[in-house]
Amino acid sequence: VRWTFCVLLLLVGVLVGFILGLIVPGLRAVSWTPTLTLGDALHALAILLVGVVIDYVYASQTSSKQSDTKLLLDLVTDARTALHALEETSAVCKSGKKLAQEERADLLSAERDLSNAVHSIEEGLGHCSVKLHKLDFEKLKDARVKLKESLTDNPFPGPYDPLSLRTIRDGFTLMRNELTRMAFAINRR
Amino acid sequence: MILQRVELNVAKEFARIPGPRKRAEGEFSGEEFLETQLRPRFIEAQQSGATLHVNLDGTVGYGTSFLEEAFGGLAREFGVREVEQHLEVTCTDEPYLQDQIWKYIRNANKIR
Repeated sequence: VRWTFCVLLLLVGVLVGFILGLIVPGLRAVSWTPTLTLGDALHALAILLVGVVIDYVYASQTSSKQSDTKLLLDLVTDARTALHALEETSAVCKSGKKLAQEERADLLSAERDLSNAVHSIEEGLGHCSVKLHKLDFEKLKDARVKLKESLTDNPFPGPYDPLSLRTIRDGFTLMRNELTRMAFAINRR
Repeated sequence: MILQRVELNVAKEFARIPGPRKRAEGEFSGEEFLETQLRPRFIEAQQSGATLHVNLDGTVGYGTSFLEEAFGGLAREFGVREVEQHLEVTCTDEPYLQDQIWKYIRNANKIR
């Protein structure tokens, strides 16, 4: 895309020059004798070299940033998967009964998976030298804590009353929104 | 003999599936953990000028209510400063847990 743009720019430049030459009468009277000295050639070579270096640096930086972004977005996707799994596991809270030991274990385990998925995003951002405060990462962590509290603080292990179930639902919504926000923030950084 | 470190492994010495907040709510509660494991070991560490190291690895996970009752309860009983001096917690299974526990300790006296 970058090279196509450069070639297009060059063609547009030539076309504009040609049209100007036709339209502006004064320009037709200007005579031009092309000369090329060794100094001119070296000058052109130096400019070309600088251009190549700039392009190389730009290309490598862009490519590295794109790979980092992809990896970070994959981590956010993992967290979304963990959130979805936790939402499915937490469906037992709607039963109106106290959770059995196996259900408790599944809930705690699924919540731990989400916690570790969020931690992986934080680690990933650290590896990419992204400043966490620029992405408001604490908001995502707070949402995770709120969701955990809604599931495993009072009245854990149940039965969950309608108000508790609503708090859980709100917790999931907040967490989902925070993960969406994080994905956009990573993409636009 | 002066001990440097008193060890407490929750999964091995208490339960692999930690329970709710209070004994009345179910088995392996935070209250039970505080009374039977955490408090006695903490006193042991305190009296010998040692650090109590609580290893939280090996369980399926912890509920907020369990952690708050156990560690917040410890801070309510012995004071935040004393707990800070003699307690160390590790959890490689879930790194955020350590931060959460210290939050419960420091907010122990706030009304929940």
